[in-house]
Amino acid sequence: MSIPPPDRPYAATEPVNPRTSGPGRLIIALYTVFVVGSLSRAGFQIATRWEDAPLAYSLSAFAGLVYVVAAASLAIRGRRAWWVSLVAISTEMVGVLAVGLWSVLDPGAFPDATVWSGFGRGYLYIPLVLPMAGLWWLWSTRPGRRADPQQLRAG
Amino acid sequence: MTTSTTSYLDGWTTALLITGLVAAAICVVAGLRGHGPGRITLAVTAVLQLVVTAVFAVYLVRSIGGEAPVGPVWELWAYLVTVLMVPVVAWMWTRTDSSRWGTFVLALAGFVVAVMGARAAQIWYGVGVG
Repeated sequence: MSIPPPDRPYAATEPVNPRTSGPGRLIIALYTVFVVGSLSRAGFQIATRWEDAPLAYSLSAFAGLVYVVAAASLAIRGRRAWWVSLVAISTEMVGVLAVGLWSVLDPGAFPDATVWSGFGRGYLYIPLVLPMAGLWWLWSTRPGRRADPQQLRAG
Repeated sequence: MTTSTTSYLDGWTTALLITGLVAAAICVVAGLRGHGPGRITLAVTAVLQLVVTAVFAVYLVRSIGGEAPVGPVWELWAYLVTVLMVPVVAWMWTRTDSSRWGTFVLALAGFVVAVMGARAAQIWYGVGVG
């Protein structure tokens, strides 16, 4: 077992990507789950029964793509990737709120559910909580801020 | 959503469900206590991988033996292949994060396996497949 002790201090030269450390781990892991789930589902639904619910399926595919961009950009270091994450996760936040509201007000438009229907009710509301966690995490690791990974990891 | 029937809970599904949820609970507790992935949490993840592999094999044998799921075949295997990879991917990811958050990732793996394993069984028995 080569697992270092939890209190291993980070050397200043160690190439740590702050966004994949600490809580970022869990957030990216959750995004990965939703990437796999939403993209495979949307891909198959569009390929086989597009006519049944074109709006729901295109929204599912769109949500899947947003999750892909969010997961990938969170895992990449650098300022540009941070901005890509911000746009993707903000889109996700607006998307889940808008689609959630839309599906509640006009259920007839959604004969088949999307990830974002009812604010992600079918997925334990994780689609609603995930962008909030993502935005908080982006704020904690924003460029220019000397984030202390040790402190974030401990907290 | 699915109906409240529990007819899909055969022995293997129950074993997978319990293993996943117990593994998740153990890892959540360890994470809340500030522990990084350690001997116990990695051991339960290894057990989880074993059970997942066994369940995968059971579905494989059933399918080769001529049985077929009530629900869509593609969806069943999408779930099973994903579930098969979840514990090992979570394990590999904790190799580079020794903080409590690595333990929470292991907890997530247990939870995801439990949910997706149950869903795979529902597809097999045609519960909530419409």
